[in-house]
Formats: sequence, C-alpha cells, structure tokens
Amino acid sequence: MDTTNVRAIITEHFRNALKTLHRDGLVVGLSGGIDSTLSAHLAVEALGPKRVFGVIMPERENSPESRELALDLVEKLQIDHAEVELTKPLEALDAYGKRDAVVRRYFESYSPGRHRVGIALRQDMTGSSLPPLHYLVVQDERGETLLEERIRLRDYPELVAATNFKQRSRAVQLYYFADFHNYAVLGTTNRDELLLGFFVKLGDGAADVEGIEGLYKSELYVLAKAMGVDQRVIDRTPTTDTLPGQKSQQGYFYGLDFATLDTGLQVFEGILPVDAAAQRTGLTAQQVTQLVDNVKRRHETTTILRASPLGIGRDPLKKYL
Amino acid sequence: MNESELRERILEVVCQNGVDRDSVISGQKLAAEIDSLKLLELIEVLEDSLHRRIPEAELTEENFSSVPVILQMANRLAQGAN
Repeated sequence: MDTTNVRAIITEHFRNALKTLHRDGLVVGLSGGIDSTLSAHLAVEALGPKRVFGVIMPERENSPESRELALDLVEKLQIDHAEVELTKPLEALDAYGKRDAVVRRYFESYSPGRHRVGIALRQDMTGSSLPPLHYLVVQDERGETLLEERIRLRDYPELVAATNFKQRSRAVQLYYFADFHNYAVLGTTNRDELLLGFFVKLGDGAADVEGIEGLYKSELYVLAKAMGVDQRVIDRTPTTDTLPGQKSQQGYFYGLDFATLDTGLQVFEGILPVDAAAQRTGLTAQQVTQLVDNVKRRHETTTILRASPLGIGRDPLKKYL
Repeated sequence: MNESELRERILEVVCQNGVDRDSVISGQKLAAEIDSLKLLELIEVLEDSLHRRIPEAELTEENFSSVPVILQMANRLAQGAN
C-alpha cells in the first residue's frame, strides 16, 4: 500500500469535507484503539492540532488502558480534548440494568462486580453456510468462563438494544462538542465494519465525515505504522470495549484473522479474483467462495445500518403524483 | 404439534418478508438463505415442538439444508436420539 498517497487522499478529503459542511474542524471520539487513534493522526495531519478536538468517554466497564492510551494520544498530538464520564448517563438510561436483567435469565447469580459478560459468535465462515449463532459468555474476575450458552431469540435483540446505549451515548457527546465548536464529527468506521455492519447506527456509525472507511482493517495497521502511531495501540487486541467480557473483534465477531477476512472482503467487492484470494490465504477456492457467500449475507442483513432514512424521494410528494 | 403443523411453522418462519414459499420447499440450500435471527427462530420452533433443547452438535449446515431435512432431524430428536 502506498501510504504516502493514502494519507494525501484522506487529508485532502478532510479539508474538502469541512469546506462543504461549513464547519471549522473535526471532533473525534478517542477510545485508545487503532481506528480512533489513526483517525486522529490523520485529522491532525490534515488540519493541524488546533482544529481537532478529542473526546474521551470512559464508563465503568471500559478497560482503564483505553483511557490511558487516549490521554497519551491527546498529549502526543497536542490537541484540545474533553473527558466525559458516561457511567451516570448510562445508569440513567438503565443500560446496565436492562442488560443485566437478560444476563440473569441465564446466570442467576450474575453480579457486575464479580463477573464479566460478553457475546460470542460461532460461525464457520469458510466451511459452512449456516449463519452465526450468538452465545452469552459469563466469566469470573480471573477470566475463567463460568457459562457459555446459546442466546435465545427473545433475548438477543434485547441484549443488543441495551448494549447499543453505549455507542449512542458516545455519539450524543460527540455531537455536543461538534455543535459547541462548530466542528464536524469524524467517524472512525473502517471498511470491515462498514461492509459487515459491525457498528451501531446513530452510535459509532454517526458521523459527518468518514476517513478510514475505505481501508480494510489489515491496511489500517500498515498506515498506522507509517504514521508513527503508538506501538501499544498497534499491538493492542482490537475490541469494541462495550461488554466487560468481550473478547477481540477478530476472535469473537469474525472468527478469522484480519488478513483472511480482508481478502474475502476484497473478493466480495470484486477487486480480487477467487483464485488469487485462495493463493493469498492458503484456503481452497471453495472455502473462499463460502467465505464470500457468508460475507454477502452479512452485508445484506445489515443493510439498515448503512441506509439513510428511506423516504419516497427527495422531491415534494406532488412530483410523484 | 404434528409433522404437518411443524412443517407449516417452519415455512412461516422462513417465508416472512416475501420469501418465495415454492422455492423454499424445493430448495436444498436453506441454511445459506436464512440469517441468524431466522435460524434462532427455527431452533425455537423446533425446541417448542420437541420440548427439549437441540444439542449443539445438531446445529449444522446439513441439518438445516432443507425443510424435509429439518423435519427428519426433529423426528430423530423426538425419538430420543441425538
């Protein structure tokens, strides 16, 4: 990947986007992960540190490392920032309570102080067309698994809805600061997340400007290295940091390493033939095809996340009469 | 729930949102055409009918490849076999 060219394209896009949107700078939520860190680096390269504002939004279930890395980043980039604790707003929304009520249907003695909860996805992406099933995982403080049980139909949407409060609460804060400073919100969704619908609509998917949505996850690491992103961020296991027992995105959401997944995504997007993908990944052509079929279904079933509100049209209704 | 009622329930689940009933009945790739929530719904229909949990080992592409195959699995499980 020609990282110099990629940087030039993205930074020019940021400057043009702000002109189009009539905003003076970019607000970016900082999680200490590679997506937001790289996005902040790109924003500063495009606009300079004075026109980029970072928002750090810890809550009681985040890893403390997320906050530390985000604070180190604002210092390194010399950008203004705010830190907003989200635990109280989330309590006010009963986000933890709603989620915990579902968890207790499976694990009666569940206690957020003593246990960590996560959702595991089981799917053989390269060997089976069966869609993924979701499992609730409860661990003790040492990370030992106490329960792993298939989530029932009535519980899964409830669990997702409660968890999504977190991303949506973060979006509310980002837009507060964007309005306050006359800035635009910079999204941090990467291409894997975009294609597979691995983001929350009006949550982490809420943004005015996108920077890295054209880059596959494995490409982000190459660009991050080229831009001098903190090695601790590059080495960190990617996670949504929304459930305390959640494992990595890689292991839990896709079941594949990013290089293989990204190759499959490129076949899905028509930029790589199946044979070349098979050669690159060591999979058979049949496995690549299965992977692409699974990606295609996932993409289709998450259409609503990427869709703008579906109106009849943009014109006055009388035009359609 | 007898087999015919179970078959109707399965078709009802799979054919929501305008999915063509005839193509589902004749198809052999049902697993590839449903999403996670539909699969969960099918599992619950089967579990309600059988009054038991479906063992994890039964949740395979093969067992969900077509409506007759799902019914065969249900019959097998109803007779106490895993």
